[in-house]
Amino acid sequence: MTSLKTRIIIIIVSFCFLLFFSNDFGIIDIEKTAIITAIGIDKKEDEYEITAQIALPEAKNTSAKNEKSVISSTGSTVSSAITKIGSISGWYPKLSFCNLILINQSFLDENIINLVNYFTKTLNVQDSTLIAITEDSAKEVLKTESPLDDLSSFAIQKILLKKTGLNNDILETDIKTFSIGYYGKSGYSYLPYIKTLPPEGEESGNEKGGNELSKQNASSGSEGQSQSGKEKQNLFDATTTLLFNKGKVVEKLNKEETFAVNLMTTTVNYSTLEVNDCVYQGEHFNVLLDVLSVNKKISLKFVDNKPFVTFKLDVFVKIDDQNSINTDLNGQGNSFVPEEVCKKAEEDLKSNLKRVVEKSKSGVDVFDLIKKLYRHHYKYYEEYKESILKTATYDYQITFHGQQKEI
Amino acid sequence: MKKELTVRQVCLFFIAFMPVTKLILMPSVLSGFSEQDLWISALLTGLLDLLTIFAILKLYKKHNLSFFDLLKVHFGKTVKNIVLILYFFYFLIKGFPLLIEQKNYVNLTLYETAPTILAFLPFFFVVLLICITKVRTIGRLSDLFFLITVFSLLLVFILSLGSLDFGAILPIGAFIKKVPIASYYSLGWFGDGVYLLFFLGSFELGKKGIGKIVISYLISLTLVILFLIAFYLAFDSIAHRTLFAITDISKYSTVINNVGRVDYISVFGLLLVGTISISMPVFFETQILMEVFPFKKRIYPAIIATTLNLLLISLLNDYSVVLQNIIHTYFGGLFFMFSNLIPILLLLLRRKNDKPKN
Repeated sequence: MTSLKTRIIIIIVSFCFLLFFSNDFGIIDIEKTAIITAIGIDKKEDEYEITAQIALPEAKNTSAKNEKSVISSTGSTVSSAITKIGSISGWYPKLSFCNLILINQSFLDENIINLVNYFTKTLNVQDSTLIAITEDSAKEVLKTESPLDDLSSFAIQKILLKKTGLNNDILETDIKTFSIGYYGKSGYSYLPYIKTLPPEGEESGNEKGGNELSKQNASSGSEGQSQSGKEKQNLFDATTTLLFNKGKVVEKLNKEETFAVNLMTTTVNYSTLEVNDCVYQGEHFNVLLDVLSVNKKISLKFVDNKPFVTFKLDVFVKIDDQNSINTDLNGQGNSFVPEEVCKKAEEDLKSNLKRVVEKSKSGVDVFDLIKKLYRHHYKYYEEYKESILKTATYDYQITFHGQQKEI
Repeated sequence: MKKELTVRQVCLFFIAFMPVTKLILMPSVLSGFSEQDLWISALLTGLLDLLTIFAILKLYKKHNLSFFDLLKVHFGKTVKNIVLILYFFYFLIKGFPLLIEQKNYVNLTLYETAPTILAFLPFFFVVLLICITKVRTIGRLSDLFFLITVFSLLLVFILSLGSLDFGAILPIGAFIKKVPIASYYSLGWFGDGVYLLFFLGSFELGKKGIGKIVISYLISLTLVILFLIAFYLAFDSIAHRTLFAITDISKYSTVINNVGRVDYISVFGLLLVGTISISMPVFFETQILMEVFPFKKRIYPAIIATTLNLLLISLLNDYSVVLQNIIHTYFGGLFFMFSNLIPILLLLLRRKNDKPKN
């Protein structure tokens, strides 16, 4: 009898644990659920227009591509607009798989945290969700066909989250990083600015004036598009970075400046760097360098109670490609990097860094100097927290080196 | 006569069940006051508990009586019953925010589409079962569950390592003036020494018992402090806005990007341990009812205590967040008095008075 009683108790307890931990109460009917992969936010008069890109999972034997749907709704707040999407579609808007939030640039004249705050507070959205500003309306971007993926949001994610070995020319941000910056001591945060590149054959005003290597890369990308047989398909560019202070946009970085910031602040290995107009043995030519390893340090010191910032950067490179006719460089098996090329790379990067530093003086703590001041030089914090970006003395110790020519 | 618990089980009780209740909401609340110095606030409250535990162990060594017998011998049966009834209400208040916290955590993070109170009610069947059991079962659970706690916390620490900004904890002491305020707010989550008071008489202290138990509490406190530091390193300036620390702290690992939410192994592990941990106040309410009223079977006071907590959670569900805030804001003194002050003051009782009164 005791044994039976024990067994019954064990079964009841096991059942309770099962109910408690298995999420059976929260089970989702997939037919009534909209799995939102991305959200776009536009301004429509005084309201927020939310566009949800929805993946439609279907049980098929042959699933060749991702089916999608794009639904829009307006509301006086972000949350109300998202709720209306559920009302008008009959689908429960499940945001757990939302990995991208696109915000139209029309919001740049106000504090962007008003939009981001909803996503930081709700538990339905992962705070690792990427955020970006779009040049075109976010709705249009989400509707755009791209050769990279059937879902444009997936295509944009591929561009933002570049794998090791691809160019580090994008500063991507997620909800968490953006919020930590906004609520941090300096109030600095950044967002990539996404431009929709026109389909093949259509000239883009923004791309005019790009250098030769860029054009070569762009044309090879277009070739891929035409081969796929798709028409009017767009690619995206996210190499421009917007810099925010307390949620308000203050400055903009171009591709080269973004790359310079990436080199100084993030882990960069196996990226590439274009160096144009190098001179070696009297010949002018362009070079594409492979960045093999980077040693970097930004140090803040106080000398005679004055802030002194040093950028130390040591980059080991090799030549990936060049358009020189010099056999020293283009001969089979030649892998040395001329000192002149290194000097030119150093000059270019130094000038890009100097431009970023100048831009940072308008109040954007790109290199975390205010954070360093607070953490490591707290006694100077009150005195310099407002002025350090402008009053600090900057020193640039940038060196590029590669394999030397055999003697 | 063989005691119900061994010193080992008391030690493992602290390591298994004490850290988990402090990992859900407390990190966020403390960082709201003392920012990167949140760990100092927790350390202060933890050291107060350590002092209490040491005092209780000294008390036990001095008198070798259970808390019930100690009260009866020194103050008489009536005073004993009054004190125990007061402790009954104290455990109701102490347990309420912990129950609400666990309920909100389970409902809001695991039940996205149907966060109803119904989803949480099966928990009370488990509480009832624990209350029916005797102290011996708590000891056995400690033997088993300390492994889950240690493994889960280690997994959390390992997974979170890659996303930690190790400079975020600096400068240490910048918010030192707000540390006492945060410590005051943390009293509701701490006050674990009071459990030891109710375990008195259930175990033989032995020669090195005091040292072992004190060290085990220090290990438990260290786990909490490490978690708080890791939490702030992960969330920096938004730590006070990050409500459910254990779900969020380790999810940025590249391992998770590749193989999925393996961190949920530790989340579920800690929730499982938490189920037992937040049952403790209800367990001791049952102990008190058994002692004060002439129940013949333990199941009756267990049902009364469980039902009372169930009713509190169900009826006050809509006001739970406000009540939680009120309890942590205004009841710090009460927590300090019942969890720390009274146990420490009991040390003043003289051994020569260990004679029965009425």
